[in-house]
Amino acid sequence: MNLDILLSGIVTGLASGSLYAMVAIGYTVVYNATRVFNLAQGQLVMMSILLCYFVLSVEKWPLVVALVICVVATGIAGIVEERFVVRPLLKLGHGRIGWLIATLAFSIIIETVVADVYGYNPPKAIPSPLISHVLRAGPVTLSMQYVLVVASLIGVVLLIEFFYGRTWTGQAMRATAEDREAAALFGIEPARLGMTAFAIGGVVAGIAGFVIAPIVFSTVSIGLTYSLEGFLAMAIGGFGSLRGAIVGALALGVTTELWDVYLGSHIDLAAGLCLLVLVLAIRPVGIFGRVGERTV
Amino acid sequence: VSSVSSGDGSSPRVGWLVGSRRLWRPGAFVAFFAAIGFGPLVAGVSTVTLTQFEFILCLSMVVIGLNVVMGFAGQLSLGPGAIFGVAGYAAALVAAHAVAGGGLPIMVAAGIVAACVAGVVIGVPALRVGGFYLGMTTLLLAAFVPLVATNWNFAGSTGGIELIAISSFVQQPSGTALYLLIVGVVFVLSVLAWSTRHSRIGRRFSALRSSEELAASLGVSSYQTKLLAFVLSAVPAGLGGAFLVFSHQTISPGSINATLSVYILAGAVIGGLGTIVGPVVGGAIVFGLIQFLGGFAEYEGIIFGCLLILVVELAPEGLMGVRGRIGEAATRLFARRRSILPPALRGRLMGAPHRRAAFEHGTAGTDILSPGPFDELPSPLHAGLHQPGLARSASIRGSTPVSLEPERPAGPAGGSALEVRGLSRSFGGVQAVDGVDLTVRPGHLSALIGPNGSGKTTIINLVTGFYRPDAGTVTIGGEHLERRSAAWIAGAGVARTFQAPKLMLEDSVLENVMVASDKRIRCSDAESVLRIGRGRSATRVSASSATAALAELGIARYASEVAGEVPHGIQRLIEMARAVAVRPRFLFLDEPAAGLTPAEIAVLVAAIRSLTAAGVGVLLVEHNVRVVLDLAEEVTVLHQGLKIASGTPEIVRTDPEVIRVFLGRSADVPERTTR
Repeated sequence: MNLDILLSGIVTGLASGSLYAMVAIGYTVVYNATRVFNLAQGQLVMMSILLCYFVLSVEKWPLVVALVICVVATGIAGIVEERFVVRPLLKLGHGRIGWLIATLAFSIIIETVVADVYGYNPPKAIPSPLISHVLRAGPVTLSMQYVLVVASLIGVVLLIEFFYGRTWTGQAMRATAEDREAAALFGIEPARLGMTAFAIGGVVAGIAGFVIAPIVFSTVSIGLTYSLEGFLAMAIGGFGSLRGAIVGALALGVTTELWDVYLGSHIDLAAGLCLLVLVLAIRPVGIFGRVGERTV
Repeated sequence: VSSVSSGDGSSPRVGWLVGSRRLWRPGAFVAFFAAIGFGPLVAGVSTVTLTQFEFILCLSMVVIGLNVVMGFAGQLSLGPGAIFGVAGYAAALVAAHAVAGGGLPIMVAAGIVAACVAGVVIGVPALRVGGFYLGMTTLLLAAFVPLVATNWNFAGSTGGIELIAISSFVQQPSGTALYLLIVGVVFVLSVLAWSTRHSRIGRRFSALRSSEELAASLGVSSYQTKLLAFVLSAVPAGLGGAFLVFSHQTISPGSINATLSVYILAGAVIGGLGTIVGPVVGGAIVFGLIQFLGGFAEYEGIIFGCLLILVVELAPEGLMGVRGRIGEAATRLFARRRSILPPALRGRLMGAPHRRAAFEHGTAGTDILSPGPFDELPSPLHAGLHQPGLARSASIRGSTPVSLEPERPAGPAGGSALEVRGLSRSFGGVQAVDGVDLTVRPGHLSALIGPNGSGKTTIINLVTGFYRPDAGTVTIGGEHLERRSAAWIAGAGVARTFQAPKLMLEDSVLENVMVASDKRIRCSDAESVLRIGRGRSATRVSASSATAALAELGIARYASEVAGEVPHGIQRLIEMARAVAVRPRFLFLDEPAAGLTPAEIAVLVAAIRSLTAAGVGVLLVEHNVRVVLDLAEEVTVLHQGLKIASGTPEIVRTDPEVIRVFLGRSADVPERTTR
C-alpha cells in the first residue's frame, strides 16, 4: 500500500467532505429552526452550480457577479420554498411527513426548471482562476479550488456561529432548537424564524455551489446526490448539531474518497451507505446526536 | 404529567394521509376494473396503445405495493422504484440468460423473489432506526440501484437489456391477452390489498400506523410488523417489474431512476394512501399523464411536483379520501333529514348516527346503561366472560372450528403475583421514581394514587417495558420483566391503557378491539388474508369476542363506527374494552375514569370488578381519590417518586403523611381559616 496515495486520498476526502459539510450545515440550520429536513438542499447547490456556468461560461461576467447572483437566487428559492411549500404544512400541523413529501416535490420542481432552462446538455467545465493552481505539502497536492472549498466552509461556520451567538434572531433560533414551546412562550415567532432559516440554508447552498462549480462541472442530476450525501453526513454526525454535521461530512468525504481510490469510483454512494449502516449499528443517534433526539 | 414519549418522534406517521375506510363497494369495484379491462378493447385501440396502458398498469402495481407499507402500516418508503428496478432487472436477466426462452411464469417468479430479497435487505438495517431514517435510506436506494445498473456490464450497463434482441425470448401471451392478464393481476392485487387491510395483518398494520406504543402495548412487535409490511409491499412491485419487462421487452437504468420513485409516491398520495382503489386511480393519473403528455413531457417534473405539493397541502387524504368524505357528508345530511321520523322508527332506520346524536345531546348518559342491540346477542364468549374456568370455543357453521387460547391463569404462573421491588428511574436529574415496591395480586384491585408528577404513570411505563428502569426488579413468579421489550411483556399477559386514549382513529371501533382479540386466536396470517382454512372462522370468533368485550363496557352499539368520530368518553371505554379483550393476567389502568360521565364511570367500575372476579390483577392509577378508596383493596400512595404509604384504604385514609401531601396541612392540626 502506498502511503502517499492514502495521504492524498485523505486530504482530498477532507476537501470534498467540506462540500458535504456545507450541505449538511444548510440542513442543520433549517432543521433546528423548523424541525424540517429540507430535501431540496442539494438541488439548491445544483442550481447555484448551473447559475455559475451560465454567468461565467455563457455570459462571461466577472466572478463577483456570479457569487452575488448565486447567493441571491438560492436565498430567494429558499424563501419561496418556506413560504409556499413548508409553512402551509406546518400551519396545518397534521402529521410529520407532509413536509418531507412536499420538499421532495419541490426538489423535483427545481430540477425540472433548471433542466428545462439549461437543457439536458453534457456536463461542461466551468472556468476558474484557481483551478490550475496547486497547493503542495510534501507528497500531498491539492487544487487551490479545493483549498477555497475548505476556506469557505470555515468562513460559513464562523459566520453561523457569530449569527447564533451574537444576533437576536440567531439566539432565538438556538432557543427554539433547544425547546420549541419555551421559546414560543418568550414571544419567539416560529414562522419568522423559519423564513430566515430557509434563507440562510439557501445562501449556504449558493456559496457551496459557487465554490464547487469549477470542480464538478455542470450537471442537473447531481442535486439528489448532494441531498443524500448531506443526509448521510447528518445521520452519521447526529441530527441538529452543527459540530456533528461537519464531523459526519468530513468522515463521509474521507470514506468516499478512499473507496474511490481503492475500489473505484463507479458506485461510491455505497461508501456512504456502508458508513451509515456501521454508525447506526454502533450508535443509532449518530456521533454527536443526543440520545432521545434521534428523531425528526 | 408525563406520557410515553420515548419513541414518540421516531415514527413519522402517515395517519393523517389515510382516508376513509368506507371505499369498498364490490359492484363499483368490479365495474371499475371491467371498464379498465374491456373499455380499450371495445374502443378498438391499437396494440401500441395497449402497450402504453400496460406501462400504466404495471406501475400501478408498484403503487399498490407502496400503499401497503405507507398507507396501511404507516412506514415511510421513498424508494419503491428501487425495488421495482431490482425486480425488472431480475426478470430481464432470467429471460436473457438463465432459462432458455424465459417465459412469463419464470420471469414473474424471478421478479417477486428479487423484490422480496431486496425488500428484506433494505428493510433489516433501516427498520432498526425506522421513521425518517427509513424514508431517507430508501430514497438513497432509489438513487443507488440505477447507479449500480449503469455500471454493471453483465446487465448491459447504460444501454440496459433488450429482450427483443434475444432470439430465445418469445412474448407469449401478447397483445389483447397480455393486456387482460395484466388488468387481472391489478384486480387481484387490489382485492388482496383490501383483504389484507381487513385481516389480522391489516389490524396490526393499523395499530403500528397509529402509534408504535399502541402496537407494543398489544404485544405486536413493531420490527417484525414493519418487515412484514416491507416484504408484502415488495410483492406487487416485483410483479410490476416483471410484467413491464415482459410487456416492453426492455429495461435500462434510465427507466428506473430516482425520479420514478417520486412519481410512484405521487401516485399513492394523489390517489389516497390507505385506500383500496386510490393507488390504481392515482397510478393511472400520474403514469397516464407521463405516457400521454406528449409535448409537455419536459415539464412533467414541474407538473407532478406542484400537484404533489397541492394534494399534500389541500387534500391530504388524496382523491379517494376526498370522495369518501363527500360521500360521508352526504350520508350525514341524509340521516339528519330522516330524523323528522317518529322516535320509535328512528333507531331502526338510522342506527348508529342517531345514537351518536343522542349522545351529543346528552341523552346517551342514561341510555348507555340500557342494553343495545348487540348486547343482547347470545354469545358464548360473552356468557363465559365471568366464568374463568369455562373452556371457550366457538364452532361456526360450515367452517373449521377455531378455539381461543385457554385462560391464562391456568398456566404455570397463574397464581403468582406481579412483584415490583426497588424500582427507580430518573430523568436528567429528576428522580421520577425512587425505590418503589408494589405487589399486584391476581384477582385483586390495587390502586396507585398521588399528586401530579408523583411518578404514577412512570411506574406503569417502567413495569410495562416502555421505559427501562435504572434499578429494581419486576417479576411474575420469578420471571423477570424489567429487561424485556414492551411487546414481550404485553405478550406475557401484562396489559395497559394509556392516559390519553391511543386508538386506531381511522378504523372501526370493532377493529380497534379485534386487534387485541386476534392475539388469542390461533390462525396464520396467510389464512386470514386469503380467507381460507381457519381464516374466516378466526375473524368471526375474533369479532364476536371483540363485540363481547364492547358489550361488557356497554358500547357494543358503536361497533361499526369510526373510532375517531365517537365522543371522548366512548374512546376511553373502547380502550378499556380492548384491554378486556386481551384477557390479561395483569392490567394497568392509567386514569381510566378521567373525563367520563358518572354513568360511564359506573360501567367502568363494573367492568373492573368483573375483571378482578375473573382472576385478573388490576392496578389502577386514578386522581379521583374517593373512587379509589371505595374500590381498591390495597392503596399505594406516591409523592415525588417515593412511596409514602400503602395498605388498606382505611389505613391510608388516616395516614398523617398522606393527609399532609394531599391536603397541604398536617393531620393533627386541623387548621381552620379564620380570616
